[in-house]
Amino acid sequence: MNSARFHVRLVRKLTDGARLAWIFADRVDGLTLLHYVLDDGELHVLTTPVDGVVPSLTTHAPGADWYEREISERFAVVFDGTAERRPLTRTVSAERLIRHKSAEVSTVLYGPVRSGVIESARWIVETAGEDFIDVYPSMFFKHRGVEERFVGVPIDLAPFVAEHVSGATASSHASAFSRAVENTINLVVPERARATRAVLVELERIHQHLDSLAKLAEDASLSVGAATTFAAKERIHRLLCDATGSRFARGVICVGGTRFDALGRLREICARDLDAAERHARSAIDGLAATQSLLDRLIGTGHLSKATVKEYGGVGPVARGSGIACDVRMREGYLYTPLQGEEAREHNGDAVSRALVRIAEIQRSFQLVRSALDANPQGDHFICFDVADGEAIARVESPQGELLYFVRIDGGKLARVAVRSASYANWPLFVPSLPGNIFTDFSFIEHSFGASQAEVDR
Amino acid sequence: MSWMARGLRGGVLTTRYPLHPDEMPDSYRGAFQSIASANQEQERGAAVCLSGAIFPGADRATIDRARCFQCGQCAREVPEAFQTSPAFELAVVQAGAEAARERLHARSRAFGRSVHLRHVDAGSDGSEEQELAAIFNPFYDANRLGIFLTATPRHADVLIVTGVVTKPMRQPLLRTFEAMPEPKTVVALGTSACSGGIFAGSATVIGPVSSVLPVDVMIPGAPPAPLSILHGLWVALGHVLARETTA
Amino acid sequence: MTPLLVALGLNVLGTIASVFSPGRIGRACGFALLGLAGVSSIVAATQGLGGTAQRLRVGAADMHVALRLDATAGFYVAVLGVVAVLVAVFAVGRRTADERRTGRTAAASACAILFASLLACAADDVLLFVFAWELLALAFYWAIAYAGTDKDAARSAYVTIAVTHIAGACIVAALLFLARAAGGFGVDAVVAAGSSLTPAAAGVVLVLFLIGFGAKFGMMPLQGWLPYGYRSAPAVVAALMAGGSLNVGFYGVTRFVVPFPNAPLWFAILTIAIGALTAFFGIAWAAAQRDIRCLAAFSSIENGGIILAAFGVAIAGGVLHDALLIGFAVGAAFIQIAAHAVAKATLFLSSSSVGDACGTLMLDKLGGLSRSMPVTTTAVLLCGMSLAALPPLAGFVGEWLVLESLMQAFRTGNIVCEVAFSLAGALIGIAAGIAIVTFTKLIGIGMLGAPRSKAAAEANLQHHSLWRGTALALGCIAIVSVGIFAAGLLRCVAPAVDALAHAPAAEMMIGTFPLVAPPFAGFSSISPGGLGAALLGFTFVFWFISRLFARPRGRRAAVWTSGEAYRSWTQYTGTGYANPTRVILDAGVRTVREIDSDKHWYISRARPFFDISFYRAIAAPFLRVADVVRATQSGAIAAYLSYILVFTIIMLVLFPSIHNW
Repeated sequence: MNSARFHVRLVRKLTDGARLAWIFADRVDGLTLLHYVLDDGELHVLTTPVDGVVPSLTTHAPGADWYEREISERFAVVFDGTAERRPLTRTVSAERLIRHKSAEVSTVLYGPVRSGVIESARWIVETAGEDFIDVYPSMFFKHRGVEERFVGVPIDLAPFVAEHVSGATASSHASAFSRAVENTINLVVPERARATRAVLVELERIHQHLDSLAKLAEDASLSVGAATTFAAKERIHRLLCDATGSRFARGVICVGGTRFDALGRLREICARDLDAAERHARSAIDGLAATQSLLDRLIGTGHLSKATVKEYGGVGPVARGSGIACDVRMREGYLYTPLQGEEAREHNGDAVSRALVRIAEIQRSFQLVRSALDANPQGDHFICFDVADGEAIARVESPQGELLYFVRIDGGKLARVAVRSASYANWPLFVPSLPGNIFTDFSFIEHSFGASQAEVDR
Repeated sequence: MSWMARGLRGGVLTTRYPLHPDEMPDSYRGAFQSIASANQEQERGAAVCLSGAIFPGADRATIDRARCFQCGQCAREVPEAFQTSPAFELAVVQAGAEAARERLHARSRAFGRSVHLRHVDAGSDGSEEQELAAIFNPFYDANRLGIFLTATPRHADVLIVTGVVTKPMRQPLLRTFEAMPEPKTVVALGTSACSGGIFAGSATVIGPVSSVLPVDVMIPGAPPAPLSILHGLWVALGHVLARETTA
Repeated sequence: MTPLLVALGLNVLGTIASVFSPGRIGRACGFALLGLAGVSSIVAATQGLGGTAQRLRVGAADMHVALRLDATAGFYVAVLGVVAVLVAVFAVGRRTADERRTGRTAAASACAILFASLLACAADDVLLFVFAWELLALAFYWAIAYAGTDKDAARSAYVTIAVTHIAGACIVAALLFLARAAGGFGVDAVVAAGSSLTPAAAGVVLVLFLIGFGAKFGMMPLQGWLPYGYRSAPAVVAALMAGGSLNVGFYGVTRFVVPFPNAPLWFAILTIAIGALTAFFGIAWAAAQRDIRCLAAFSSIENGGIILAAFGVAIAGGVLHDALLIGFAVGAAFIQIAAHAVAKATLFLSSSSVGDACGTLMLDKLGGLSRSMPVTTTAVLLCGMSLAALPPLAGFVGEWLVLESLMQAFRTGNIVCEVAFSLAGALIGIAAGIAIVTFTKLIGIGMLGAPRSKAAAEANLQHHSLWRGTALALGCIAIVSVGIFAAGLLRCVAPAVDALAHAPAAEMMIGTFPLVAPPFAGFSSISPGGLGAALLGFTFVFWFISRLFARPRGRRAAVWTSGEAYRSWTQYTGTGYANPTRVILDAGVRTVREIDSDKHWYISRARPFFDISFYRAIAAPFLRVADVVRATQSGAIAAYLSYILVFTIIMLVLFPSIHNW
């Protein structure tokens, strides 16, 4: 199929309502391949070799912009018709990124070293006082080359690398990576391992959502609220540490199941501590949801319409805050059978909607943890397998949203691992959420996205 | 219910560490020791260590704590040669840092032990930040020890760097260091910052913090637990001695 | 009287010399003569303030020209003289970049402006006053249309002449009406004739006066011409206009309105209200300005409003027969007039230096001038502080006294007065607050920081000369001394104040030197001199303590900008700094912001209401009528003859009734 027809097919699928979930590149035998991942309920991967200039998808899906720019910078693929010419992944001098509309506009270089304990990113904010005239996310300061680091690592150690993509959501990353490898050989892991993974990912969702909410409270100078929420988060970490030996449950999940049988210990510890942790979390989030001074700052802040989120292919609480059903857990019976009932959604698309989605998800996750622990599937925690060449994609609902992993195994070794994190999918939505807000709303909007910079920069 | 009531109802959660001892749960994978074992078994352990922290020796292997990212694979695969322990006081003082510690000690004592930290993320995986922030939560409350965060490096006594130093972060890191007044102490937080961790030697990064700045205290861990961070800071302030000092 | 005549003569000479001498020599002669005229004006003023009025009549009984130099005229002549000297010293050296060609026209128009202003202040009959007033309008037109290099000069001159014509018409109407009642043209007689008018007629006359004089100092809604005129005239002439001739409007108020015998109370309240609103909106618009000179012009409007409010209090005092209140308010107004005159003149002169060095007056393209232009920066700093009413400078004393005079509301014993006084006080208080924002913006964005453009970074200092430095230094000295020696100034103008108050009010305002206080017992007082000394002392003590406790050595380090290298474009811009003020005052300031669809540029404009578009809307029906009437102007002799015939017949029919009227 020639590239023009391929493009037409892509566009048709997009206009039929499919979501552009991901574009990534791979190099096989000196040939650069582009994989387009579309989501119409199921994931479809459409692959085309790069043959000259590739037509850009940005006019049909603005969310394609980041993927295409990253590919053009990392794989020297030329896309035709991209509007944004500024570099994305290469960190260049700010002079090349500012637009300087007039002498009235001053440019704030917000980052890379920002105040507080915060991950490094640079926002180039052009302002004439308080409103945003132009904001440019200049990121990838933390590009550590994790995807390259995967190459050649033995399969059983590779989940450790996945845990380095984002240490705070290590379980999601390890699960998604493991699942991708398992997909290459159609391996079905034992039920007990699935339940363990489910408990870890849900606990991770709880502590990450609590972290986002606590940061929102901190932004509103709600010290006691922030402290209570952070303390609730700490209880989850302590629980995980006691049960798995790591406060972020690292080093548990591996390809084929879990490295050790953690479910028994999890049941034991949760029986002891989960009630207290849940009470604490509930007290904190009930308090936050009832604090008018916090809500005042969030209502209407950082508004994203449903249409915008759809166009950009937003995921996770950001998309659900704008009323889009996108929870991977509702569709895929991997970590557990597909969830029943409604996923948490809000329809206002502002920061408070995203916060309310997180609050609802925290409560849901506590229920899921309990049901997985109560089910207590018996059997082995690990299944032995033989590595075979092949490639596969897998997705997991990480705390920030849909997390995608692509794995290609060649000669029994990892040849290419690509990661599309939820934060990466959501960041392009940050700028469209800014108009109408002022400078002091910036951190509220940022924390309402709850993105992890590490999994964006990789 | 008011936040005040909520806060009071929660009771006192705060640890009294480091003035009184505290401990991590027994299952915590903090440190690993090599026990007397055959060289072959040590080699097997080294082979499963992704960050190359294990150096097989005659009687027992040497484990470079700065490189260990606490995955536990060695103790799991070769229990004959490696053991895990819940130790969390892992901070290491770099040789030559004693003078800086003395100065910081004298100065922090003059101000009732109060010090201000400036944090820079040079390329972390995001969890170190959350653990560093956690030392200010009610369970650890570093403020009770006179440890505060500051936004501007102009007011900072201690520079805490997380993560392996990536190429784009080198200049910002140096600028932050230069913006700090003397005397200044540099703490590398987390295995990646201490040694580069699994990224050591990667072409995409520069290396550990020490390849850019003079590091005084290293707090290994992936990520280091809040208690480890408190201990490391206490070491940096010269209030306690580290267990070991690198040559 | 002789020095005044000398000054007038020198101005005539100056105008002629600069028009008819070749190029640069003409300009130098003109400004030199302007300076000498200024000096002799100051000498004349000392005579006028001496107490006894001096009069001069030239001509026969019917056709005569009468001059009079009393204390009131003396005060204004002194202000004009000081400003003229500052301008002349500044301008006599090098031509400024904004003067057209050789700068001859600038010198000539400056001399003409000073001549007309002096003549207006010294005129003892209203015909001469009207003549001087119209001459001043023409001189303004000349300066704005022909002396500067501004490309909008034609439009500015048109707006100026249009507004001054309306003003002139109002004044002529009011004066002729009064002259008819007085049966003569003597100024005092004309004013005294007010007592014979019905209250309604007196009100009409006073409103006409207010419109006429108010236009000169930018009273709303006639302020529209002022920013255009001040911007298009060369800065040196603008300095004379803003610092000097603007006060002719106040002279008119002092001479004709304050002593008006039959003023209704509503007129006093109207004056205070318009004054306060003018002050508030003037400074609100000033805060949104992006050009130094526009900012200075709007600040003049603010000061016009403050001074007008003070005169309003004086008028109220007259209505309520409170001689001390009259004296107090007039004294406050005089201090504020003097303060504004020196500060504004110096500010315009400084802006000329900045414009010459950087080629632009846009605040957002300046910055970093404190190192390259220390004298100018100091001058702008002092002007800004004084205009923002910071102690112990001139503006502070003036505004404090005006506010104190408004606080005397309780003395009036009239509820309407009390409310009006209080609201006006609040508005002027807010205006003082916004003034601080405005002048912080002027100094912080325009002078301090790092250069915001290449032009500012490479400020061309070859225009600097000893003359200019001296002029700015003199301006600074004047600003400081009007503040610190406010009590002395009050003593000097006491005859003028007392003459208006018919009571020794000025003396009562001067406490133990250098104390200044309201002339009412048991009220607050300030000592600007003492305040100055205390501030100086505190500064020294603070410096000493900081030296004592500071570490011996400091450390120079780059500015911290989030781990990035410092760039000058990360600095706050003027628009950005004033943005919160703009947002709060948006209803009044009405900034228009333009962001294009691709967001590649951003422009904000502060568009005052009552601006050109407002005037155009008002003028539209008249212009339409004019268009219709134009049809009658065919140019054919026959048509005109027939018009005359028709008119004559109508007159013959109507004559008896006209005669009886």
